[in-house]
Amino acid sequence: MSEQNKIYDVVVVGGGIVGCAVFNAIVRNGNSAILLEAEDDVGAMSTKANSGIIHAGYDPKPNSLMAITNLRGNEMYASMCKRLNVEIKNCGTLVVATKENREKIQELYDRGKTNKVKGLKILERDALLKLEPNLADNIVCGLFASTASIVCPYLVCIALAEEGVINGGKVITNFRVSSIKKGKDIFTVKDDTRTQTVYGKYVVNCAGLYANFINSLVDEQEYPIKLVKGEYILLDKSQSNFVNRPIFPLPTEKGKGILAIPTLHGNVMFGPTATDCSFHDTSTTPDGLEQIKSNIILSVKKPNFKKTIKLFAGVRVKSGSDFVIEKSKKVPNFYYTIGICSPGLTSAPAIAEMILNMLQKDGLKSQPIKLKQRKPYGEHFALPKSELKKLIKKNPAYGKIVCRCEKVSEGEIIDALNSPLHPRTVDAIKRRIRPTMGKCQGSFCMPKIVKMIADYEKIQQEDVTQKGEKSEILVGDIKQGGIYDL
Amino acid sequence: MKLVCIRCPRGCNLNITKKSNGQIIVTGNSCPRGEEYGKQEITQPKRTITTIQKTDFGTVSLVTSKAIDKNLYFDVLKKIKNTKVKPNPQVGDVFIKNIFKTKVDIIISGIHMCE
Amino acid sequence: MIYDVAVIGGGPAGMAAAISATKEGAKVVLIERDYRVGGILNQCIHNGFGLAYFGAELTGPQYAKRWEDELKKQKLDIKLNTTLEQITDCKKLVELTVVSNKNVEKIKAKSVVLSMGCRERPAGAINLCGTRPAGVFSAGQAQKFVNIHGKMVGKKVVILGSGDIGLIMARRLTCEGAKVIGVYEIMSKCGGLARNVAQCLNDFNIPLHLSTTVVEVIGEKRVEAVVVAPVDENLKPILEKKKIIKCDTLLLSVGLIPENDLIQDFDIEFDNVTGSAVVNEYFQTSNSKIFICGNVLHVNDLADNVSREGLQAGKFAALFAKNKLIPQNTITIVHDNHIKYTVPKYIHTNSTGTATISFRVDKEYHQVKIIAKSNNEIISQKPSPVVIAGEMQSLIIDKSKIKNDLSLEIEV
Repeated sequence: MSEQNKIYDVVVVGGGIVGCAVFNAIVRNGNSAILLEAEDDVGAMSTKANSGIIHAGYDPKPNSLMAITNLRGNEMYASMCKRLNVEIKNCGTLVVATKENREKIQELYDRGKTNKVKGLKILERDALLKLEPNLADNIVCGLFASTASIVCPYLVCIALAEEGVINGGKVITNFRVSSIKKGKDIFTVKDDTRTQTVYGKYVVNCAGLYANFINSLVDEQEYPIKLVKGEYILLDKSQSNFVNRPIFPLPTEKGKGILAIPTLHGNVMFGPTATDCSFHDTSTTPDGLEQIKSNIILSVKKPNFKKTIKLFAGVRVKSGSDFVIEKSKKVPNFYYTIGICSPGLTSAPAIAEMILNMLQKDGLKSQPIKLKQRKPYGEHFALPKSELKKLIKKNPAYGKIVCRCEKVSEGEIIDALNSPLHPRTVDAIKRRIRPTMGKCQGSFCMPKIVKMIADYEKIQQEDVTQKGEKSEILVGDIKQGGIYDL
Repeated sequence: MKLVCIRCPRGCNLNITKKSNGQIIVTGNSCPRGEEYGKQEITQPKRTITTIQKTDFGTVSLVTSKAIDKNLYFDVLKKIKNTKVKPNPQVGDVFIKNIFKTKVDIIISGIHMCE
Repeated sequence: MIYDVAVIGGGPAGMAAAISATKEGAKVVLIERDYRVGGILNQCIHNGFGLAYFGAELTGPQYAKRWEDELKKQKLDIKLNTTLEQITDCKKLVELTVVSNKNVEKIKAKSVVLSMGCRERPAGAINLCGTRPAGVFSAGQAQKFVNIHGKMVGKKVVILGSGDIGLIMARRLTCEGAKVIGVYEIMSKCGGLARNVAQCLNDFNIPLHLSTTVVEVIGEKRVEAVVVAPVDENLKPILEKKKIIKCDTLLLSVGLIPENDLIQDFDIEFDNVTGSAVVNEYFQTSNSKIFICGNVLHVNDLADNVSREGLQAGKFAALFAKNKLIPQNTITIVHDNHIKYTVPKYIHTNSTGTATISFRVDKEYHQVKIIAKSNNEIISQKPSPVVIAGEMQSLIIDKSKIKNDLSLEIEV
C-alpha cells in the first residue's frame, strides 16, 4: 500500500507535549501512528512557553486526574529523559511562605502526603537560605519537594516526536485538521487546504487550545474551557546563580503564582502571570510585566531586570478544575484530552500511558518494539576540549561558531536541519540547539542562520520563515519598490 | 538660513546669509570645510551617495568619488540598480565612470561575501 | 610559543592595537572570528569615517581597508575564522583557548588587548510589549541583511531609537526601496549626531518623533503595526494618546552594550556606568596583563576614537609585555556630577606626555567650560558651546602637570 493511502493504527491530532507523548507511546508499543500538527513544528504553541518544571505533585486536589497523572508522570520522567537523551535536572522545588502563612505550608505538606508524594520536607529559614540565598527577607519557612525537576519543555516534546519518527512513526506539520469522517471502521482525516488525506483506526485528540474544535468535527461533546495567558520575563545567563531551583509562592485559586525558575541552560525566568484571554493571544503587556515585577519580590530578592533579554507569553487551557481524558461515547475509537494545563508537562507521559491503555482495552493490539535510540543535539562546546578537537578534525564545520552567545557551530545547525522532524524555520532551529537565544537574541547570527536554511533548502533567503508560513523574515532583493517605482 | 553642517561629526550650526551683492556669508562653522559646505548647500546642494549592488557571492558596496548634485540622488541609485558587477571586482574599481556626465565616478568601496 | 600581545577582535580597535603593538617590537597575534578583519566597519557602507586619521571622508569598508593595509605591512600572526572560547589567568601569562574550523588550541601571551566591540540591546531589554512576529530587527542586524546579503528587511518601516545607526538605516532602507514611516525616540533629544538627522532624515523627509516610543508590536506571524505613544517627563507612555501605525517592520536602535562576557568572571574592577572594566590611561585594567579598548570598554560615537584607543592600548600592552611599563602610583580621576564617567578612571602621577580623558555628560549644557584641575590649579581647559549626553567629550591633559589629584569639571 502506498504511503498516501496507508491506514494508520492511530492518528494523533496535535503535537504539543501531550500529543507527542501519546504518539511516542503508541509507536514504542509497536503500532503505526501519525501525528498531525497545525504549526510548523511540534511544541510550538503552549508547550514552548512552559515553566519547564516536573512537579512533585503536592498541589493537585487528591484523587483528581491531575494528582494521579502528576505523580505517575513524575515517576516516569527521569527514565524517559534518559531514554530520550534529553537533560533533566533533579533540583527539587521550593514553596515559600511568610509568618502569616506558615500553616498553609503545613496544609500543602499534608495534601502532598495524601497524594503520596515522597521526599517532602518543611524547612525553616536558616535551612532555606542554605539552599537559596536570594529569598526575600520575610520568608520564614518553605516546603521542599525533592522529587521535582526541571527540563527544557520544548526539547522534551521534540525528542518524544523524534523518537517516534526514527522508530517508524510519521509526523506531518502544517496540517490543520478541518474534517474527520468515520466510515465503518476507518477515520478519514483531512486538512481542506492540502491534498493529502490521513486514514486511521483510532483518533486521539490532543489539540490543546483547539481540542473542542476537533471534538466538534465528530459531533462529540465540547467542554467549557478557559484560556489563560501566562507572561514571563527571561534574564541572561549572567544571572544564572540567582536561584538553584524553582521557587513558588503559596498557590492560590488562580494558579501557582509568579515563580523564579532557573532554566536548564543557565538563564533565570520569572512568571507566569495568569490572565484570562479569549483567543491564542501571546502578547506581552505592561500590566503583565508589572505584575511579575511586583509579585516576584514576595518570594525572592529583587532580580536584576536590567539583564532582561526576552519577554514571552503562552496560553494554557483550563477546563473546570481537572483534566479531561475521555473516550467518546458517541464515536467508537475516538479519544480526547481537554484542559491539560499545569501540571500537564509532568503528566504528559502518564496521560499517554492512560490513553494507550484505553486503546488497548478497545482492541488495539500492541507489541513493544526494540527501540532505536534518539541522538541528542550537539552541545559540543560543553564537551571537554579534547573531544571538541576530535569533532572539528572530523567535521571542520563544528569549529565555525555561528551563535557566539550560546556557542552553536555551523555543523550543529546542519545537524539540526538534518534531524528527524526536518525543522525549517529559524525558531525551530532555535528550540533545538539555541542559536539566537542568548544575550544578543540573534542580532549577530540570525542573518547567517537565514542564509544557511536557504542554502540547505535551495530556496531564496526571503522564503525562509521565523515560524512557518507568512512569517517570512525578508521581503526580497534590494532596490525594488519605493523610490525605484517613482 | 540655518543649516547643520554635515561635513564632519561635529555638526556645526551654520548661519548663511546672502548679501545684496550676491556674496554668501557663512557663520557658525568651525573650519573651512563648513564654509564650503554652507555656500554649496544654498547654491547647489551635493551629497556623497553610498549604496550596494548584489553579486553572486554577496554584495559590493559603492560610493560616489565625490559629492554629487543632490537632485540626482535617486537617478544615481536607479542607474546603479541597472548596472551589473563585472567578474572579479576589486576595491577601488570604477563601477560607473562619469555618471550622468557629472565627472563623478561610482567606486567600489568594499567586497562583501555573504557566507 | 609565547606571544607578547594577543589582540582579541579585528575591528577598528583591534587592528589599531595590533599595529601599534607590533610597531613597539612585540610578537603579536590577532584573533578574529570573521573571515576578514574590519569588524562591523565592513557593513557600515556609509561615509563619515576617517576624518581624524586620514583627513578624508571614507566609508566604513574604506576606513577598514586603510587599517587592514597598514596591518598587512606588519609582521604578526592573524588568525581569522577563530573564536575566543576562554581566557584563563595563569599568573605571569594569559592563556587563551581559541576555536577555529581547524582546531581547538591554546595560545599563551604576556598581555592581552580586548577589543571585541559591542552588541545591540534586544527588544526584551527595553521591555517591548506585544507579539513577537517576524519583522522586528535590531538596526545592525538589518544593516547586515541589506548591505552584506543584499536583501530587504521590509517595505514599511518604523524605527525605534534615534542613535546614529538608526538614522543611518533610515536612509539606507529608503535608498534600497523601503518607505520609512518615522523614527521614534523616547528621549526629548535625538540620540545621534545632528549631521545624521540632516542627511539621513531631513534629506528624505523622514519625520523624527521625540519623546515618543513604541509601546506595542501587533501581528501574529509578521509585524502588522506598532502602537506608539508620547511619554511624560518620567518617560512613562501616555497611553490615552497612543496611535496605531501600520507597518511591516520595526527596527530597534536602542543602545549598545560592551561585549565583555568573557571577562565578567575575571577578577577585574568594573564600572557600573559603562558596564565594563575600568582602566588607567594605558587602557590597562586592574589585572595588569589585560588591556581593553574601543567599544568593549565604553561605547564610542566615532570609529576614529576607537582606533585612537586601540593604538594606545596596543602600544602599552607591548611595553608591559617587554617589562617596560614600570608600575607607578596612580590616582583616581574625580569628576563632578555633570559627568557620568571618565575613561580612564585612573591616571599615573609623576609621568610625562599627554593623556586624553574621554567622558560623557548626563544631559545637555550650553556655553560650558571643561576644566581639569590638579592641586586646585587648572591644568587644562576647553570651552564648548554645547555638550550633550549623546556625544562623547574629551579633554587632553599634560600629564607632567598632575600633582597628587586630578578632577574634571563642567563649568556651566
